[in-house]
Amino acid sequence: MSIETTAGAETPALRTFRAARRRRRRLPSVAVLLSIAYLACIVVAGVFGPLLVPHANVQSLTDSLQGMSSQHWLGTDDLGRDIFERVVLGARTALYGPLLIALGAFVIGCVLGLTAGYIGGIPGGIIMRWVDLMYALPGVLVAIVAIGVLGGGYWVAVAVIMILSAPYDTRLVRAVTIEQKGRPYVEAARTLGLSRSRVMFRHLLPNVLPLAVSQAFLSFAFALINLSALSFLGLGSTPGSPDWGTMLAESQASLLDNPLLAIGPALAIIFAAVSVNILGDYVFDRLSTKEGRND
Amino acid sequence: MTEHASRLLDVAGLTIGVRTGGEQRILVDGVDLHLDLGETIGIVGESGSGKSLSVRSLLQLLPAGFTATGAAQLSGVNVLTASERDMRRVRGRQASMILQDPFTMLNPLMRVGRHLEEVLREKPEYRAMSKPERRAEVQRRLEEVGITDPGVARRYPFQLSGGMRQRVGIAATLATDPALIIADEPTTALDAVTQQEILELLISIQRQRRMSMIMITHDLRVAFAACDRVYVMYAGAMMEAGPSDELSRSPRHPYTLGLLASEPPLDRRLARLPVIQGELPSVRDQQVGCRFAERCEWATPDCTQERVRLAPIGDDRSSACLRVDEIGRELAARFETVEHGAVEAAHQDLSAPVIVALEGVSKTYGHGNGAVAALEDVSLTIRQGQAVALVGESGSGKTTLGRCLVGLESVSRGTAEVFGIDITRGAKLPRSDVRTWRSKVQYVFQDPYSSLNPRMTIGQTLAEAGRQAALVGDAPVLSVEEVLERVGLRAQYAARRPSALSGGERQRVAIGRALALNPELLICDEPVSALDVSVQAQVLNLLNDIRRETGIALLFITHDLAVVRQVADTVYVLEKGRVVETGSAQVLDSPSSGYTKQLLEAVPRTSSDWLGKRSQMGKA
Repeated sequence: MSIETTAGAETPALRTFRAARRRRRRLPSVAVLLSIAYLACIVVAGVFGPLLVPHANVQSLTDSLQGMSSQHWLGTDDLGRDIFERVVLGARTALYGPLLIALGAFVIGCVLGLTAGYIGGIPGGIIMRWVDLMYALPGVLVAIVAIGVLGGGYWVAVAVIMILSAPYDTRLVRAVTIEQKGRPYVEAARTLGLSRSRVMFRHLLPNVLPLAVSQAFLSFAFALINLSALSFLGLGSTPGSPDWGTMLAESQASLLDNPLLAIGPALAIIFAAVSVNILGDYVFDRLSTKEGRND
Repeated sequence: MTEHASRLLDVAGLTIGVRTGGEQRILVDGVDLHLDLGETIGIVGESGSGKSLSVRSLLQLLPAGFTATGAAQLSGVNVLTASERDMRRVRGRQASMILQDPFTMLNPLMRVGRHLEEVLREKPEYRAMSKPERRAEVQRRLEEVGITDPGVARRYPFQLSGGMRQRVGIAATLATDPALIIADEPTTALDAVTQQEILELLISIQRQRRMSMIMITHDLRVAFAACDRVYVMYAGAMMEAGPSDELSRSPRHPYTLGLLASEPPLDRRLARLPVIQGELPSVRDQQVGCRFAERCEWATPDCTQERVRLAPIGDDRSSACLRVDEIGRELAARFETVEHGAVEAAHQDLSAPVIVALEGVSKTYGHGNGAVAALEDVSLTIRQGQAVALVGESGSGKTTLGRCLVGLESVSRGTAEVFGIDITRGAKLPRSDVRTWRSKVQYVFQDPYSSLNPRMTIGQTLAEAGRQAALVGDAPVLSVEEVLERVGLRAQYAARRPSALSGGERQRVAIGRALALNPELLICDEPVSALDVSVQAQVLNLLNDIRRETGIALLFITHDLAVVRQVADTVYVLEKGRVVETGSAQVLDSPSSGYTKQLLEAVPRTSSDWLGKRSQMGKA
């Protein structure tokens, strides 16, 4: 892309060089591929879960607490429900909530962070004091109290965690904005007479995005774990529902009879969090190298 | 060439490659050079010429992934193949390096004295000394590089000026008493006056200690003034080599000629600066034969048939030009015309309306005792269509002034009118006034590598400026293609991103963006100082053309007096925020202020008396 392309000037060496570069671009590492595959499964399970495993919630007390078998891949729980099928069903709450939290925190963080970083002054001061306040609060405890007051439920937990993670995005976006706003390209935009919002969203935002996006992946992983933790405490998803955190909590009673009851959802959570992190790193690398740099 | 017994360094066929993406790329191709004891050689080249890589390979200091082949004997050791253990003995004791930016070379948490002690500790005689003796030794070493204030040893690097830091860097390099000093752009980060002092210091030390020196620089004049012999490199290959005075008088390679010619002269204004057409080839194009061929007007098909190497042409000179015998006379004739190129008189219309009027303008940063004055009581006038130069060293406030005029900084005191708008009111100005101000005054930044948004294509950048022009809208809006054409770029550039452009091309785009608003005043802040010489001339010509075509006024902010001579009608010399001299460009011929004289003295000149005079003054 950076090579002068005049017709006929393409030497064989140049062609092989380009091909090599394309190949290298196309091939992410094995870990990234595995992460993408796993997350794709979660997305499919999250969206089509009830269609894939229509009998997941059917109880069969005669089949309770069975081990692994070809019929029940991860065995059954105390009510005779297939653990694997319930883990598949649980992908929905593991996907929607964290996704909403990551997106929400990302949007809030970008708007507030750009404002605080670029405009500063009194609005910036107010935003940053709010960020400081949120940092000072012990997150999960606040969530527990807030959900207790607001009456609980999955979506309340989602909203509370979104507001709790937005300050991290805000702070990061602000820091990058401050670093970027002294650069000549921003000053050039100012001397053109562009409006503040245009400088912020057309010029600064694209250059802030790589970090903000990778932060969004991190928030997704945190949100997943926090939501599961709240569900584990009985504050998120309603008891009995196929949520990975709830399943973990409810596995306690029969943990010794069938450890798979805990291992299944636990591994699902861990793999999801790790995969999101790996993918976040990869996306950051791609975004920040792809023609984005000035040198 | 004759006394081989005194040969310190002999390099033959040095080739440096790097492996990327399974492909071997050659960055330095078959370099030959030699250096005698007590001799100083210069390696001159533009960015990407491979000059730094070549000397780094001699100390095995190449970045990971780079490999060097060929032969290089440094006092009998083959430094390309020697083991790391042997190299540790070579580095420091045999050869030491001085880097471009001494700030990155000095540990910010170590006091100056500690730096020297660290290096001196390697020497047994130092370890045998008592504590007071050691302190005296450190002091003596600092005095050698001209630091007489004993307090300096207790300071941290950040408490020193750039010149002082470079002196400390030199002292640290010399502490191991090496036989060879490699100075990699030792003065590039310094102001002209400091540059002259540091070069004189290096030369006097080199003579006193009878050391050998390799000086790497992009500035031909510096190399000619400071070195016995000069090697000219281009795109990884040696082009020409020879004694400084001969090379500077009669280049025997089209590239050397081009380099010498595109250097703007200080003493006269040329109607048009000679340029080397085209741009540096990309390292990805591994062409066969002479690398300069595609930019060379004397090139024949033979030039790209087979590899060319430096070949002796008599008088201790060598050239890599295949046709050197055929075109020698032509080169000489061309050089003659360059030396006596068409001269243009500075012309200005002093009855034109005033567009910028500054009266007693001051700018201070900070409050109370910590306040720093960047500008003090500056008065300046710019008339329509006039080209004004603001000259000064770093810290003189010239950039601050330019930024005030465009609204990137605010004026603290004084009256300042730009196109009739009182810019001291800053944020309190009505919207319409701000819009007029922005559309009439535009700014071109020094660093073309960061002044374009890396995530926008050239077309997007220029279109945005065009839309802005439409908003203000009295003049016809230029399309992206028209803007590109005006700054001499093809329309295909619109689809590219800044990362795909060279420095010169980016600066053209930045100029185009500013022109898209049809401004009446263009402020250029060191627009060519980040560019290679051959590209610098192209951009200066472009600015002069634009001025001739559009009648735009220019405010040229620069430290380079030769550049000032080429573009300016009126000159303002700034020192520490004050205007110390002003007048038409003839100020450069007969300066009245001592500071201006000092600046003129410090401009690098090819003749060796540029450095000699002052070192004699220093001894007296």
